[in-house]
Amino acid sequence: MQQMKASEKRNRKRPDGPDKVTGRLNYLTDLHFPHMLYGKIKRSAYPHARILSIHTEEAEQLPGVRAVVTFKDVPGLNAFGIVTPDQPVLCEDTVRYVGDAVAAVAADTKEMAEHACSLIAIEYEPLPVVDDPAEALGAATPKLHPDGNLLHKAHFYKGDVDDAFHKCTEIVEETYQVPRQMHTYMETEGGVIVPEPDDTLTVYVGTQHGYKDRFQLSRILNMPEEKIRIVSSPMGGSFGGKDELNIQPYGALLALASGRPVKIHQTRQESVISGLKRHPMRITMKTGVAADGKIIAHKVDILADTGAYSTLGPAILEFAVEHSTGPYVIPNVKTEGVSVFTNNGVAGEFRGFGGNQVTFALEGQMDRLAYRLDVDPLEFRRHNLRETDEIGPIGQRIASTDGAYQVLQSIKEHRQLKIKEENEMPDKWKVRGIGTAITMHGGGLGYGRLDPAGGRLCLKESGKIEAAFGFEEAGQGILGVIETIVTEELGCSVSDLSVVIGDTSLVPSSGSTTASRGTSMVWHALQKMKEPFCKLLIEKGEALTGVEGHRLQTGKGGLVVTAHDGEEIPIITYEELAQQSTEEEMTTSTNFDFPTTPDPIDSGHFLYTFGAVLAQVEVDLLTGKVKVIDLDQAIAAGPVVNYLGYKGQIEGGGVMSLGYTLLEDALMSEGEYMTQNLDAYLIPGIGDVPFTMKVEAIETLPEDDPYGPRGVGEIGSVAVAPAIAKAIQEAVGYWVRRLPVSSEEVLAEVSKRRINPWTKAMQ
Amino acid sequence: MDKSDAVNVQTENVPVIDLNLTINENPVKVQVEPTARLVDILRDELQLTGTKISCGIGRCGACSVMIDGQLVNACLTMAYQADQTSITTIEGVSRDQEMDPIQKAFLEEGGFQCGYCTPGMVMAVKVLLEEVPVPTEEDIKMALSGNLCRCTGYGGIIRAVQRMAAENSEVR
Amino acid sequence: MVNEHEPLMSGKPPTLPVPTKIWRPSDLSEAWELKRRYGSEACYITGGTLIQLQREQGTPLAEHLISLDKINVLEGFDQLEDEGQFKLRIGALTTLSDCHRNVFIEEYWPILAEAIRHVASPAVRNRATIGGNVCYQVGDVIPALMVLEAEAVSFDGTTYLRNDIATYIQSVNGKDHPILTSITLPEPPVSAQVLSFFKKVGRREAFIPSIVTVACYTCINESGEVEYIRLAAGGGTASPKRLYESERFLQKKVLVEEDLGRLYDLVLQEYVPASDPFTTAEYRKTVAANVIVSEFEKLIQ
Ligand SMILES: Cc1cc2nc3c(=O)[nH]c(=O)nc-3n(C[C@@H](O)[C@@H](O)[C@H](O)COP(=O)(O)OP(=O)(O)OC[C@H]3O[C@@H](n4cnc5c(N)ncnc54)[C@H](O)[C@@H]3O)c2cc1C
Ligand code: FES
Ligand code: FES
Repeated sequence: MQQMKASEKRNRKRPDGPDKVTGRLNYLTDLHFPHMLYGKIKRSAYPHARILSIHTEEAEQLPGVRAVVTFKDVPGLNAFGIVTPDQPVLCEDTVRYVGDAVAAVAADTKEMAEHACSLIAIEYEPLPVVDDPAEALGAATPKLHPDGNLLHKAHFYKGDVDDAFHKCTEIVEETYQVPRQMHTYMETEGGVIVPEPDDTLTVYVGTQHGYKDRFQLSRILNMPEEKIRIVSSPMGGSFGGKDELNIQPYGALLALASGRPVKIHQTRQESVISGLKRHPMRITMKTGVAADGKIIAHKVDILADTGAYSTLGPAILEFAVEHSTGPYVIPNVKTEGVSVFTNNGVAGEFRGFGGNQVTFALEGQMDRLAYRLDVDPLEFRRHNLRETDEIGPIGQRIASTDGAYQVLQSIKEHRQLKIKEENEMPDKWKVRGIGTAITMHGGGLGYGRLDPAGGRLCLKESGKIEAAFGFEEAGQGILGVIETIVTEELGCSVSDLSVVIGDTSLVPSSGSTTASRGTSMVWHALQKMKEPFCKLLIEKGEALTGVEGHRLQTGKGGLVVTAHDGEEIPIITYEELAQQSTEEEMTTSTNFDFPTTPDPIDSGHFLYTFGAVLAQVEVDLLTGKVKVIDLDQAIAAGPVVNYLGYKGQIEGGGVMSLGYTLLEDALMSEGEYMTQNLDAYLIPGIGDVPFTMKVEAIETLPEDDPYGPRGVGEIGSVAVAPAIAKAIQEAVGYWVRRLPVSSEEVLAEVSKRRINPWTKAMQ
Repeated sequence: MDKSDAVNVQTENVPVIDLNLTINENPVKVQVEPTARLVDILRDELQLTGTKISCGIGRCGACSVMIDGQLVNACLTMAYQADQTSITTIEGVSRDQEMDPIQKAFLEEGGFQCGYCTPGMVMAVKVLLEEVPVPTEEDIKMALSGNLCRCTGYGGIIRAVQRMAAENSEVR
Repeated sequence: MVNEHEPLMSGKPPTLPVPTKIWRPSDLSEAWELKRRYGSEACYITGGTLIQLQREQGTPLAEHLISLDKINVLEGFDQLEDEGQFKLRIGALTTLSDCHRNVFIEEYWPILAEAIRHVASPAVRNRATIGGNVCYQVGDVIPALMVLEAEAVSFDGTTYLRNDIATYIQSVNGKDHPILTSITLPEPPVSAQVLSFFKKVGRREAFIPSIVTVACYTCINESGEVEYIRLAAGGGTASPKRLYESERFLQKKVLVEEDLGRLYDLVLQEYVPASDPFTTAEYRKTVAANVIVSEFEKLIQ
């Protein structure tokens, strides 16, 4: 897994790098404006209660307080939600989770705003808390929304599972439980909202989809979209967590009420309480194999806890349903998913989008079955793996791909090498194990969902080629990707280029910066814009210089002709071109949709990426603690656009899932968070990760593939948990079914086996 | 209580103190409450926003700065504790647009993504390399144990530090 | 019906809370006087790391913070000779980093250095004081100090008190707890063989609150007999304690295989940790017992 690829040389330093490493980069939470106020949001004291009264008089009288808003002050729709607006901006009569906002305050200082919040008196009548998703649909359970607690149902049926199970020689049934992971972007939600002199509003707040925020805010504020400008980039991380609105409506309401810029920057504790999380799920899988080792029946039940409001809950459930067979060919499938409302925070979009949960369960099944059949787990997978032109997991046609086989083969070879490595154990109380897992992950939003993309190229008067996209930079490196693709496609140099993103006043809509779609969309946009844009420039160049158009091309610094020896001979610089042309700027723009399957199967994906993970763990027999010492991945996602960025996404995604597997859970009890900050909510530190992680990038695509590079924002996080779980089983025989792995359960298993002779089995 | 220098001239109605600091080699004077957090003074009063804030309880290292040459969490330091000290923030690490070699290493090895942890991380690496120019794996893990990064998985950060270590060992 | 907060109807305009006042006395009597004067509205502060943590978690700062940082006698190290015995006096205000760098501690009391290495992060240790860690009552250095028979010296307004660590920690619960001024480490006993260790187990590899901390200092004579033993365990919200029963059991013993099971049971019985949402007391017990027994097993081979 080690030889250097051509793409590794395509290793551009990121354009946003120098400002980041020197601390010069202004994040939106760093901004400061004259006369700026500080805003604070007063959130619910209960996970579920009726509001009887809200008294803000005292808070308003506190010196330094400039505005206090409640539901009464929302001019438009008092609700938000990317798909269904069912979350109140400011609650009027009911609160449904501890992050529900009831009032907001703007004051001269943070302390004043905070104290004013404590002076707001709210009378509540606490209601019974719905904290167990399994009971959410019970007849006696209080209804959290008018239509009850059922948010969404999704299913996929194929063949006849009941009949097929009868023909199975081996069946494994297991229930898997996965936790409420927190995105834990290092920059908590925040920014500044500025009322402008011309009655418009500028919202400097990180988000993954500026245009969507603009739409939602316009609805809340009852203000035309054109009057709202969203500056949404850069962000100190997001991972899906900042796709939904967070503090924007409060900042906007306060800015309008006070007539002054208002800054809100949530503390970590506020962020934990109000922010989105990954959906906790309970997944039961029953999977059966026939005598020939082929899986013929697969029954899946998914129960997802979306919490108080829907946001993207339905889409995530559908994604989980689609991915519950992974890259395997199974003739009889019955998958049923339900997502429910509870008072457990709000779950929403998170890197992997439901795929990580279901992959943990599916790959767990594969390992258990292989174990029962006493065959090599990767061989067993190979035996059931999809072929190049196999139909997609829910019956839709998908882009032809060898990815599944490629990553499986790569990780198999890597495992053979790992097994051979001499492993000297540091002490007798440590044992090691190796596990592997593979996965297949859809990019884009899926069939039937509006998934528009676009971009614009323009030769500015300054002579700069401006590439404008409606994406946001959250750390994933989209700026570097745009720079690489545009300079390669146009042949220009970095200094000819100016990249503009994340500002609704300057960029076209490119859809959301989610679902691993950014890289792919930039590449597609360039394929569409390259020719017309170059044509514009060349025609103009021909007119100005007299050099025949067919000899001209865009090159470094300007239009060039290529000599016989391949050298570029400059003809006219971009600057001259721009300045000598009398008409307006030369612009090309494009709008198109993310490629989808031709088959009308709702939410079905078309472009997939593949990943395989090898994890080696060391289990401490005295404490049951698990340490990951190897976490290597093979990824098939088409050509690498920027190797450093690619590797970073895979390593970062891998470690995020290492945390998911071993450490992370935003534990709740009766609707209250048991973890409020990074002392109890644990993300991996440098001591928890393997010192080197290998990333094998498989770049070959089937011949004539027209779709170019796929995104890798999510794939590195998807199959990590099952690989670690299997490694633990290899080491100590314990089959993990609940994440994060409980050291206590591992230790109990070890004790049961009396690996340390003096211990008693724990009850 | 005349013997005790109960912070400067603080009287019942004047809750602020005059804080005298040297920040990145420049003398700075600000009036703040004695219990104000250094991180807020830097970010809000002085607009030195290179120092970040993420947890506010000393658990993430985003607010790491040097006080009199020692790495500290600016969110755990109160104004009165910083009085008369010399502070180096990320803004003082690269002078006159010239990047510190550590910053170059971060840039070239992919030691950052969103960049929010990066200023704190760079401060911690700087202190490490000043104390141990050629750190071992254990040294690196110890020195950076208080700095969390959510994006990179630490791979690029480790490569950046190892590269500095390699350069430093050549120099010797 | 619940009122989160009574609406104020008195008509008096609301004001911001009284800002905290910082006092920086230059000697102990003054500090003591201030505390007496302001009573429960005052609190001592040294590094302030714990106080700042608690403030962010929602405990408002006391109205009066009495900072001990200008009291010179509380700083630094002193080497002492006491009846031919070498002792090290560590001022309560000494930072954990300075303790960690101290060559005497490294050489004579390595398990203290080891314990300190496991407290928080380097940046926190640069401010956190050893006194603050002891007064925290659950600090990770406490078990190490206990088995090293460290002495806590404190000042109660008139006299200096000398106590063992456990006794001093007890007194911190009181209203007017004495100011911790220093920790004195006696030279540890030596013998043919020494078994000493400090172990901290947390949910993550480093920079983590402890689930279990154990410390031990044991001397074994030429005939393989345990002739001196100090064993202590802590973790979570439970204050560290010496494990006297286990010590008694091991005292004067030449350890054999069969004793390990008995020791295991004794630790389970004697060590009483608490449960929290993440870790059960049962698990803590098992881990403490496993770790301790695995170390003593080394004496058998
Ligand atoms: C991010 C973080 C991580 C941490 N990790 C750990 C850890 O891993 N292990 C651990 O043990 N602790 C940990 N702590 C707790 C840590 O704050 C203490 O261990 C530290 O040593 C306290 O020292 P301080 O000087 O900062 O105390 P302060 O915050 O100044 O004071 C702490 C308490 O002790 C009292 N006090 C202080 N000095 C004296 C004195 N001389 N006489 C009388 N009373 C006094 C104060 O009134 C106060 O109540 C952590 C704290 C933070 C913020
Ligand atoms: S903000 Fe200071 S350590 Fe996290
Ligand atoms: S680069 Fe984003 S947190 Fe480290």
